[in-house]
Amino acid sequence: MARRPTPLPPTVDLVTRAALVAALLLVSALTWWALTRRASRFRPARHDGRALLTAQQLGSPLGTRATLVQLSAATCSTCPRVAAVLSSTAASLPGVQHVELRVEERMDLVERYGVLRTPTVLLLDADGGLASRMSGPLDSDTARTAIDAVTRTAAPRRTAPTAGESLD
Amino acid sequence: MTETGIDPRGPRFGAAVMAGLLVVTLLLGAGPAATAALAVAALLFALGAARGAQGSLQGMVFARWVRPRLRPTSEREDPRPPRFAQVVGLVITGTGVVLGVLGLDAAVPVAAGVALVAAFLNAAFGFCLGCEMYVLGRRVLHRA
Repeated sequence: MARRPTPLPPTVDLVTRAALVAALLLVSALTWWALTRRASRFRPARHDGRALLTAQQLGSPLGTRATLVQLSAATCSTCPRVAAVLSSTAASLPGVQHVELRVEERMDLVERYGVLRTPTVLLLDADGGLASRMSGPLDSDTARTAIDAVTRTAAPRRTAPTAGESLD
Repeated sequence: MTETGIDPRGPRFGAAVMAGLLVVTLLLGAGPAATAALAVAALLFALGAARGAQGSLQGMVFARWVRPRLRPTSEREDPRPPRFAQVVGLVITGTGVVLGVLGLDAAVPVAAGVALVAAFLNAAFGFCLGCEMYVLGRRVLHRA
């Protein structure tokens, strides 16, 4: 705090500081609420569908209908819960795969998809195109709705990928 | 997953304690008293960073006096995320203390404010610092 020529009386100063603290807490709570609310919904990918992720790049087979790629970290307390939700959801839906990856091992995917926080869930369509994504806590209903949206529109939207395509 | 999960309410209780201490720090303004309060916060974070959130002073208070009064829960969480948060808290408050001691008084309320936001969001909404910061840190290291 800057030294003032005529300092405020201590009580006034204390009230000012208390008001600033209250304002800081209010602003951070509102910001946090707004940001997480936005992130926790599956939203359509901004990437265009041309850059498909192949099973080889993923390091794991793609689901025939959809694939949930979850990027996790050991420092993330939300990740194990989301992994449990997604693996049971995927297990109950034919053709849907859940793949959990560690960010430190997959910096290529982190950079490619602009991942900023964990858990981030990338929902890929049958071709490996990024359909939608979300981050943060997740329940199975939300996951199911998003998977339904992908598999419903999964009609032959694109031509079949040719061998060796989808290089960035 | 880990053999020794911890009660997830412990770190949240600890965060509430730290938030209270950091509010006191901010109310003290900038000066020796505020620097001392922030040093106490840094010390508590250091204990948590070294031993995990459950081994910090606030974690032990939770285990000894708070947890017995709460309903038992079978919910367990990995101790690594809250420990990561303790390390980040130590870095933030420690930097504030060092700069404060070096004569940069304004660094004390700034550091206390940053740490308060994280501790408050953690206590109130379960904000997980390791979820937000780990990827960003990795990306910075990856680019460098």
